[in-house]
Amino acid sequence: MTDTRSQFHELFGELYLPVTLTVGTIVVLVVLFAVVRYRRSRNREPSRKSEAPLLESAYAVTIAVILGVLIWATFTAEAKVDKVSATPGLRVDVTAFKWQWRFDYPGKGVPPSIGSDSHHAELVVPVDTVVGFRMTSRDVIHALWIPVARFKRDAFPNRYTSFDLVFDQLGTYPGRCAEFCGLEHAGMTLEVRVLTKQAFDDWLAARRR
Amino acid sequence: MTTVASERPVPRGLLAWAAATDHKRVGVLTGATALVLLLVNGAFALVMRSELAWPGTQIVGLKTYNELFTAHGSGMIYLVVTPLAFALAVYFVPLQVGAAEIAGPRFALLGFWLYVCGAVAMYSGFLTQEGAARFGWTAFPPLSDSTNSPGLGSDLWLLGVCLAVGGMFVLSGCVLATIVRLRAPGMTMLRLPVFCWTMVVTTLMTLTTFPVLIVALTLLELDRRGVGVFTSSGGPAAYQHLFWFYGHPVVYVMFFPFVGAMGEVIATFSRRRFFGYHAFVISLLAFAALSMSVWAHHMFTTGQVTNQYFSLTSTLIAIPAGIEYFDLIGTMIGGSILFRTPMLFAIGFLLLFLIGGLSGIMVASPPIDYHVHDSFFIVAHFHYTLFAGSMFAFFAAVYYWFPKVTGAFLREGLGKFHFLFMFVGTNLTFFPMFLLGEKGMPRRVGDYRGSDGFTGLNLISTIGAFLTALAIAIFVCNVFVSLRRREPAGADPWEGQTLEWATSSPPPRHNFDALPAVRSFAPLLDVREGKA
Repeated sequence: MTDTRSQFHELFGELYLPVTLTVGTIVVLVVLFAVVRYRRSRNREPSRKSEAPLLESAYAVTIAVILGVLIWATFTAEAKVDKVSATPGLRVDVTAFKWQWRFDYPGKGVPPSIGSDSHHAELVVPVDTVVGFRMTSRDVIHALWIPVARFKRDAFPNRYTSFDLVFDQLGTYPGRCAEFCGLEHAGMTLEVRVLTKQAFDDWLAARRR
Repeated sequence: MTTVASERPVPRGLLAWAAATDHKRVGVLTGATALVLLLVNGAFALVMRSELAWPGTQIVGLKTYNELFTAHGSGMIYLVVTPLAFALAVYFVPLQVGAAEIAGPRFALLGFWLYVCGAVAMYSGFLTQEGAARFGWTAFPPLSDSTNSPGLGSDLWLLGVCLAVGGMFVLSGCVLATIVRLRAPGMTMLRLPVFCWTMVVTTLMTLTTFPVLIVALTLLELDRRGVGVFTSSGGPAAYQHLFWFYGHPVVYVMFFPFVGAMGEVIATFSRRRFFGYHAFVISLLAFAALSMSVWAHHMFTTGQVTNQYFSLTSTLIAIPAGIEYFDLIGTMIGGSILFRTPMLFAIGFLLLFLIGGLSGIMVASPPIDYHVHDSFFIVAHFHYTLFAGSMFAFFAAVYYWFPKVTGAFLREGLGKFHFLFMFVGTNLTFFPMFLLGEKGMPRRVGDYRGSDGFTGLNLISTIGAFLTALAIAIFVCNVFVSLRRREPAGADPWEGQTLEWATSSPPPRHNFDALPAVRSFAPLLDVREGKA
């Protein structure tokens, strides 16, 4: 299961953020050290040393090693996040158009959820299920962004893109268009409702009636 | 290296400036135009920040907001930061290499006028019936095609960008030719000042990538005229590839020159030779080479590129960038640092650009970018590089070189206030944007809902923007005060290390009456240290 939210948390919250904060703090401390220690009022003769190739090479290798770890973690996470299952638990077709969303549930015999000026389109999904999305656009480029899943993907016209998401928390969450798409881009929102599997089946049954 | 004085009558007044072939005048013209446009585009930003301070649309409607962010983004990139970099280069590269003139002075003048015509064309879109372009500075089709963005404003925008970018292309040719052909006796390539080396790599990137943008925008204009260039299913992505092949190197075009200028500032105010010169030069070349292979990291969320490759190259950029930091800070360590305004801005750069650079490593990772792409996190990231980075370094360069250009100092007291307000204002404006983006606020939106939970952070950001505007106002006052009541600077007020300080302030038409021997990249420091 590709839980994009926990993948993001592991990669960003537990690796990239601590590493960059540490590096950043060290650099700031070194700058402050230089500023205090080597200010002119201390009246020191400036150093005439102008190269330190060994030290600098060691430093470059250190950066390269840190980056190697980051890249390895990125590749590992991306392999999971990008994986598309041949047999998802639910299929949803997404159509973006100026300036609304449409969600179809192929094979479920329910009418699509289409946004209008008076209400958002609703993406209703069961919890802890691999949802296989297939997305396109009817006019310009849009992007489906579901912040709670820490994921977005662009929707291009005349083209389909596929991705899997798993929602592991019940609740109602906002979603938006992230790719600027014209006048009403700011209002191109949707609502994601994550239901228990039983509640989702009930919802489907109610929609069929 | 001598010029023959013209026998023809010398034009005076406005015409003398409009037809100037003296690189110093072309540099001042380009810089002054870009500074005026900086104020214009900054005012656009203030209107946008005011609109976003609170949910709902209070000040401008969505259509105007979309025009404003397009004008602000494209204005700052095509018409302000790139031209400011070339203004510095056109003025100072010939002086630093000890040349009497820029290579191709009439071409330099042409470059300036192409830039002015481009600016006029871009802004004249606001006067058309359908309004100005409103598809962002990237102009992705199909949004920018004739169906989705009808109207002359969009065509004028495309024309204007091509002219302005063409102008910068011409200027970069002049700068590179000056460095290659007109160096003073003794100045080998490895005795070029740091700023000149940053211009070598900048112009290499400019000359290879700016034509690609002009081609892409020309194809887009053909598309708008019904030729059908980007209408296939792969067309929109193909445009993005062309655009970002220009669009990523250009962020380093808007960065290297300022880093180079700051290298000069740090060395001078640390009273010390620039540390790690050779490593710096190698890292610049590696940086520029890598910069040509990272473009599709702007397209991670398209699902149409090989994310791993572009993630790898983009992350590797941190190695040359880290070496440059090492050299800049290494110059301070062991120095004797004087905290005049240029040095304050340089230290501000070192501290703030760090935030832009480190957040850049984050967004080079596709699984992280999937969340923060096209959000305010990205807006924060590139403003920390372009504003907190390049513009801080630019102001360091302005306070440093103003005495050379005008013969008078900028006021030190006002300069320190300028720095203080800008440092606080910049962080108040842009840091909340990281949090907004992570919370889910997309970029390029003129409105949000009260229930989104974005209000408090947006309000802080808006307050910061006005504080930054106050800082810029102090700078403008400083320029006027300093020109009105001059504090004469003399030829070499800072104990400079490079050749521009070996002539009067401002330099004569022919730049130098005599040149010192050039035995390193810091010839005037050699003289002081008794090496020459």
